[in-house]
Amino acid sequence: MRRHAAAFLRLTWFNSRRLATSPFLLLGAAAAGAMVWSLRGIERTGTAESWYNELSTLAVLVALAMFAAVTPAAVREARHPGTPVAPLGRTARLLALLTAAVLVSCAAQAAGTAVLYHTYDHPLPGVVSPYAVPVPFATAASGAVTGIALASWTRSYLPLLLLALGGPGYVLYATLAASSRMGWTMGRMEQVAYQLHNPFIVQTPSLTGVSLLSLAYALLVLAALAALALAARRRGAVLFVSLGTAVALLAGAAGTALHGRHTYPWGTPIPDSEVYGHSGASPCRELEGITYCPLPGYESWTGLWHSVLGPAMAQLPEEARKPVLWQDSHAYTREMELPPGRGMVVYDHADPGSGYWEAWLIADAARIALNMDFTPHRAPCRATGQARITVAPWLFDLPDTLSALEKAEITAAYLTDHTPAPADLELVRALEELPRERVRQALHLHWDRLVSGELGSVELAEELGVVLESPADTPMSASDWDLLSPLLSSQQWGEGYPVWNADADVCGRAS
Amino acid sequence: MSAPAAAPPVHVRGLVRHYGTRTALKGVDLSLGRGVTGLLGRNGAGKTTLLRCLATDLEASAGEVRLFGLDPERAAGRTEIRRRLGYLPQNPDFYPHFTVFGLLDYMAVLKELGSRRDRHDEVRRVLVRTDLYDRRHSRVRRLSGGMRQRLALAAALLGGPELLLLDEPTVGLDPEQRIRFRSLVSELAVHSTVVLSTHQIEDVAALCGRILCLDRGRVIFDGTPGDLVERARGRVWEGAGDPGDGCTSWRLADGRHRVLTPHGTDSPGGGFTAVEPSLEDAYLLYTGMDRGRG
Repeated sequence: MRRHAAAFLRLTWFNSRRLATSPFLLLGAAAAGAMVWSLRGIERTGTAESWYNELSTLAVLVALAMFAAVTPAAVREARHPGTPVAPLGRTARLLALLTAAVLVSCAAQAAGTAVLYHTYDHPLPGVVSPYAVPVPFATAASGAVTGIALASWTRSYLPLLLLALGGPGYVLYATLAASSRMGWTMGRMEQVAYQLHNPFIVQTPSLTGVSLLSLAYALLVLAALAALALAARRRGAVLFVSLGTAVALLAGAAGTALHGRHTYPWGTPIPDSEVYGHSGASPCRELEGITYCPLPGYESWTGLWHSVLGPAMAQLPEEARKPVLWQDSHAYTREMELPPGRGMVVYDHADPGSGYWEAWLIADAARIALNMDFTPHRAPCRATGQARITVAPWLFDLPDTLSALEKAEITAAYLTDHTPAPADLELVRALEELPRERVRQALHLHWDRLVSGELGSVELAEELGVVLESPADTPMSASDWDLLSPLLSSQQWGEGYPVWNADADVCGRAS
Repeated sequence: MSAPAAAPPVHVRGLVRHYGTRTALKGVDLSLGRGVTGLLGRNGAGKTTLLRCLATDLEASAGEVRLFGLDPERAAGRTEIRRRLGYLPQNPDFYPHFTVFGLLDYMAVLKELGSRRDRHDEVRRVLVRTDLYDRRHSRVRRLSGGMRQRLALAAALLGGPELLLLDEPTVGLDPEQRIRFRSLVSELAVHSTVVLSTHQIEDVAALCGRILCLDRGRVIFDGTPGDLVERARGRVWEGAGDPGDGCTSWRLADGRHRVLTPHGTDSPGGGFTAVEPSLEDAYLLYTGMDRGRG
């Protein structure tokens, strides 16, 4: 028995060495690394979750490479047994190949995991449950096991051929047929493939329950594929047992998926206690009157947010209403206690230095401070002609690295939410030219009328010695954008930046 | 699992093997010790089926097979038998993308040979013995038919098997390689049991101390080559005339005919004289006689 086990290990090692040096794997690993690295640039600030998402992408690429790498060896076992009689029989040989394929897949995934991990600054904010970590490894291994199963059943290179044709075919589809009926069909197939890969509605490695379900699903599918491989070209009891096992495992995987979808449906608030390692302490912390409630693991981001909001809010009077900032997850709905009129929501991504992210953060805080009926995820109110509409753009401290057009776009994106009058656009532009202290004093002086909406843009302009020539009582039209910046009119959008909120309610006047 | 000390390498009683409704072996009895045993018979006589049963590649439908005293139908026994067995199948099918060395190394792993170094030593040994050492880095797909046959023999020799089953091993070998093959098998037979299935009567004549003739799933002769030849004495003739029907005959290079008379020792006609029978004559006569009886 010991001799048999030693031979099994030797065969596993023999297969592992051959798989590890397969040109398919080496080329695939290089392509996977390049692809993951090229996707890295999208988010500037790394998080544990973005690292985990990279691992998931890497796992799919490793799975594809291993599918190709393992097919020749699987065909060898299925079609060219060499000798039909050896102490290590057919089942042992297939098991050794499966074991080697899983080991090499996991080794490739581990190498990628380590490399990606070390390319981030640490500590990474966010939480990845230890139960979620093996999932990409199981995904990576499933490619090889699928390759073995298909090659064993077909005894041919056909699956590999289909994969080789499928890649270019998919690119062709993406470029030529995306809008056709075939494009719709392919879209549905993509959706099915994605659902099979991860069938859960809530997908995040931070939640313990979701991680456990994902792990169970991945392992059940992997085991089912291995059972299918062992069933290939068998007869009698072996076939019955192998197929029966595969069906039972697939049923288990389907049950796990259904249970997960039922337990974690979309939109149901999930408390922080479900996040792995959550201590149960209150997530909120107050800095200079602003309350920050980060997701577990994101506590270090409080400083990041405050470095943007703190200076902006310091420009406003002490009595200005201070926001309560809750961080939500992009992957699930967090159970949050948003105080009416003060709550604002940020997500688990950050892009400091880009201007867009900072302006968006300041805009929401300014809406709260200026009593502009702000409620997260609700359409903003209309404030045509009101001076308070001009305050947030004045607070934006946009970096000089942005071009004039980019700065104008950021300001326009905010203003269009509130249906400005032409005079409002004129005033926003004028405020940029005035000394900041002078503007600040005017805002402090008229704060009560400003936040009640009584102070109009024309009046504030007069207070600052600026003469507005445009009307203040009618919403702007698309052609008015050049009052804010000549770069905007007809430059990017043909007929100007769209004004979409003209029918919204007028922002509240009660303080 | 240990085998009884005095058990013969091959012991078969009443071996029957069915393929669906067809019966390939109909109660074969045999017991083999050291030395080379030749397995002769027409196509479809059951030679390959018998070898596959002995090689543990096929299970018997009925009867008893014991190899080294072990039962191949039990998993532990089968594994132990396979450790001590070398089998060259009729149509070896090797993975074409391996190198010669890589393939044998892989086979050596399957045969549970020891450490990497021992394995590689053993691979080199069989490569030398089969005259393939210079081709060790060649891909299998680049080998000629004869080289592949030698590769299959090399695979069968891995681990120094006590029982070597060779199913038509000299197909595709050139005369020089056949001589080398005979020399190799003769050496092996000193310490091993070799069963050689072939249509090459010269190989049998040169190598085998014992011959089994199979016909339609039965052993119809079990004896030495001399016994077989002796049975043909007086039934092989050469002459210039026409032997007529009812005899097996063929034309010789000098225009005369060689005639086998299966049913008696009478001359097939005027001008024919009895000649010394060869093993091939004897084989043809014996299988023909049996057909005549049946």
